[in-house]
Amino acid sequence: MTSMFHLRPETGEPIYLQLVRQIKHAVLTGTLERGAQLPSVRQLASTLVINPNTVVRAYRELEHAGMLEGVAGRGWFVSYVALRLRDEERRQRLEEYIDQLWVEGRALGYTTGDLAAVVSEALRDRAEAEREGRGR
Amino acid sequence: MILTEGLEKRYRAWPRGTRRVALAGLDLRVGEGGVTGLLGPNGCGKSTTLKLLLGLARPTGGSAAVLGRDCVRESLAIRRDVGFVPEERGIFGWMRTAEFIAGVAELSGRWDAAAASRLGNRWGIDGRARLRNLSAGTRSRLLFLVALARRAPLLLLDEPTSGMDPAAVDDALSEVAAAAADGTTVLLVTHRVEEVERICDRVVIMSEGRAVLHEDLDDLRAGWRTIDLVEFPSGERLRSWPEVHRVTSEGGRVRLVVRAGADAVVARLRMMGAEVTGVRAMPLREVYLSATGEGRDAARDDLA
Repeated sequence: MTSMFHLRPETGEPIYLQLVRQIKHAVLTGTLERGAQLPSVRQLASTLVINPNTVVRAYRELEHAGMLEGVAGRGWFVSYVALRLRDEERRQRLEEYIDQLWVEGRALGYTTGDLAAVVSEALRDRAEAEREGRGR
Repeated sequence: MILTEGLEKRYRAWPRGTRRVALAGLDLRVGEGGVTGLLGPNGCGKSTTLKLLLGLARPTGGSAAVLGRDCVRESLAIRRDVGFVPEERGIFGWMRTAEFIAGVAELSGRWDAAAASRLGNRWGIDGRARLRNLSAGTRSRLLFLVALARRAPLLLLDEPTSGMDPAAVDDALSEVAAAAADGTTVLLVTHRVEEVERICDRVVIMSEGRAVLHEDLDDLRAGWRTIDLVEFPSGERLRSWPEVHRVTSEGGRVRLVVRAGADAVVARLRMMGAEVTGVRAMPLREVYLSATGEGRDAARDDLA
């Protein structure tokens, strides 16, 4: 599991933040499943050859964000709440695409109402195509 | 774990009556746990500091305490409880490595024989070889092994990886990380900035016998920035701003080095009408060069 982290100490970004980012990514993409146990602080620090406090800081930060759960004496686990976070994050990304579409559409001269009509028509077509695809 | 106040060491020098200052009032505070990196150019007093901490030399001023014990009066007790990799690697050349390891084990209060044999096997240390016949890298690993196997609450490591190839360095540092995870406090003296960058959580930078910087590495990464701007009339005044560590100018361009609050500095500069052309994070290497004053040439090269 430790091989999925690639740290670059020489960049300006604090190492714990690099770890936080990469663990988040692993959880969001499902590489780390909910309930999965993370490497112990000792194990991760000695494998990545980094300071153990850096690992602790990253795990704590992710615990604060609700993504990890520290269980005394047992270690660190991907929280079950993480799945909800995953939904929130997905929703947020989708909203960003919608914003982008709206900005570009307005720049092309469409009104918001026109855009809604065009988008729902296009999505209806795709939904139909999907249904037919499944029917075959 | 370590506390020094105004620690000073002067050596007699030639011509007679003159003194060479190795330490000029060092204030150092290392709390429990974590790995502190001690960086500095050659001759800045790093090794002298370690010798004084262990009571292997007498200070000419100030005070030092390790594990709550006075470094002059309680030197023996300190040496019993501290794992030490000395800068000097030529010791006990006539001994066989197994004898050396057994000797250190006997002198140590605690001894982790399992760790000693595990590391000995992994690092290919031949018990029958004499210390003087070992390569520099193997000798470093041997000293590292005995320091680790003592399971001391404090490790003082003076260039512990010198002579090791990169794979061995990684292996040795991973042992430091594991020891730190077990609660050992480590002071790592090194000239390799990249070692400090990886393994340490705090850094002390020494220059000319003093600590010129003592900072959490994450704070350092988050705070230190270079700000480049086009020269403007009140450039000289920037030196007095509290966040500004250094100002260099070259060919109509000015570079500021700030320790923290770069965003606020940039906002203030823009309000004053300055044209900011770039803000960059500083790797530890650049902070080190800037803090020790060895960065003047480097900064000029950067701008050119």
